[in-house]
Amino acid sequence: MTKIFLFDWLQLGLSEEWADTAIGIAITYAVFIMGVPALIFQTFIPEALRNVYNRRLMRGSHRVFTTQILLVMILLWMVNPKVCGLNGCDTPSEISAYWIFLLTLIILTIGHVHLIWKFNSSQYIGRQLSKTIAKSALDHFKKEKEIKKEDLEDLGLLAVELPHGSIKNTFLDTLGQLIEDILDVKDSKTEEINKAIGDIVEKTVDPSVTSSFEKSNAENMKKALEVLSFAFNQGQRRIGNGDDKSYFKTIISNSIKEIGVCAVVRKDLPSVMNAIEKLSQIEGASRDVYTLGDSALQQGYMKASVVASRKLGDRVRKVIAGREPDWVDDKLVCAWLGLVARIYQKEGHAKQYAETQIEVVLEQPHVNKDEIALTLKNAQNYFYRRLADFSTADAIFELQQKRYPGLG
Amino acid sequence: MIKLLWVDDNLDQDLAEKRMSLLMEDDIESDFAGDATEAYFLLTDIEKDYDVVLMDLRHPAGPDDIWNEYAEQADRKYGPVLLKMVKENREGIFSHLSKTRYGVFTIETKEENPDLFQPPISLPDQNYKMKTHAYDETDFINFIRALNKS
Repeated sequence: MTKIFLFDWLQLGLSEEWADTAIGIAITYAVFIMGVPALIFQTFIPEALRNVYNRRLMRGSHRVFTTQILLVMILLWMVNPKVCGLNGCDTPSEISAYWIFLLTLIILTIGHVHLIWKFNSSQYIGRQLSKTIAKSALDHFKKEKEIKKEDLEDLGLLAVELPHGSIKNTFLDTLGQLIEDILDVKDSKTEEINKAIGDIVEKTVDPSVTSSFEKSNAENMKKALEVLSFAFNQGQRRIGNGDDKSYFKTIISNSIKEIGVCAVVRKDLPSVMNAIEKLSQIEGASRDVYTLGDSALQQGYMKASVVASRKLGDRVRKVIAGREPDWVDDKLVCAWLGLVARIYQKEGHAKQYAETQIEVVLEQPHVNKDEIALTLKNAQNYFYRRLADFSTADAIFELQQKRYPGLG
Repeated sequence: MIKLLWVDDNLDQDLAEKRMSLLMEDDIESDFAGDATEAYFLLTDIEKDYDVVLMDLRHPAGPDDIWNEYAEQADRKYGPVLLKMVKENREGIFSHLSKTRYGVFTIETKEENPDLFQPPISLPDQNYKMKTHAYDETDFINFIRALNKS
């Protein structure tokens, strides 16, 4: 009877069938578990991410396989008749029976836990990969004070390949956290932070939205803008107001502008307004605000141009009212005037709006005609000589001819 | 000229038209924030000495970790947290906002928010407006002007 029941609980004797079955179950399950990654690869992991997944998340699997093979080898050794006492003894060893049962149980449990972990990890692949890479990037920055090229490339790949929507938003959250953590690294120098944040923004945050903006949704744009704005504000606090921050500031404002331009093409007014709002908080980003307003105008998206001109106008009004030195040559004033001149060309209510803006912002009571003439000339030169934007230089000239025929 | 900061997470949705009409007002210079983090950065900027700060009561915390400690008690109600923070630090980082007027623009009733009318916030009764009572753009802009004079 004991030979029929494989597990003879009453006497716990060790039979040949039991040993056969134990080793059979253990090996079959271990081999099955080895096949799971292939199944997951084929079924759940997008092709573009397989290489990153293999490098970043498969190390655990290798350890599991090694452990299982080792346990199977021990099991094989233990079921050897001479070792376990099946041959040559009247009563096979009870302790061997315990060990064989325990080892089989361990192999099955490891395999089962690994199986559950694998299926769970395949469900949140983007989140797990981004967190793993971000952690690696932060650890490397703490030691070497730079972002490892491999981490940056992998994050860049995720930025492009992860599907838009909540998965991309989670990825952007992770990037925001990485930026915050890098800014918190105490013993890092300004230029090291500058470079690290600039790289993250340029190679990951920006492409996550702009690389395939047709498919991107408003929530992703909003999140990317939120991360960029936060990076700028936190960075400004950490780095201060010195010249050192110019690279960092330029990269962030450029990324905000690019997202804004994508939003213009998609005719997504809230995202355009958000981009302009964020840009207008960055000193020296007037050209980017102009570019956004101008591209909106070219797309026939007047509302966005109005928002851009208003945000620029608010700052220009302050500059002129405060009679800041060389205000007539200020790039901010030039950018505003360029945009208003482009709106002025549109005729109708657009022209009326542009005229009101000029009255409120430029033609302040203390501003004389010579200053207006010089401002117009400088703005034309700025667009002609600095930006080779001849059509805007022409628009300013046209505005001058129509509104101030006696000037210049 | 009224320098305004409006904090509301619906600025991109149902309040987009009000936002646009504010931008078309020549005597109002507006900044907008969609979450507590953004609002905090703008409020702590000493160059932005706002005349009026208009606050929704519920909005997201945003990415800054400083809001983690308020997460449980706030239940997304970061408006009162921010107002309290500003009022309690009038001698410190918010000293440049000593002359600022504060208003609340929300869908909640006054009865749901009694703490707003008690110290340290002490919001004047007329500075609280329900969105349903000023949904028209003109009414809304008049509310901003009234806040500035309050």
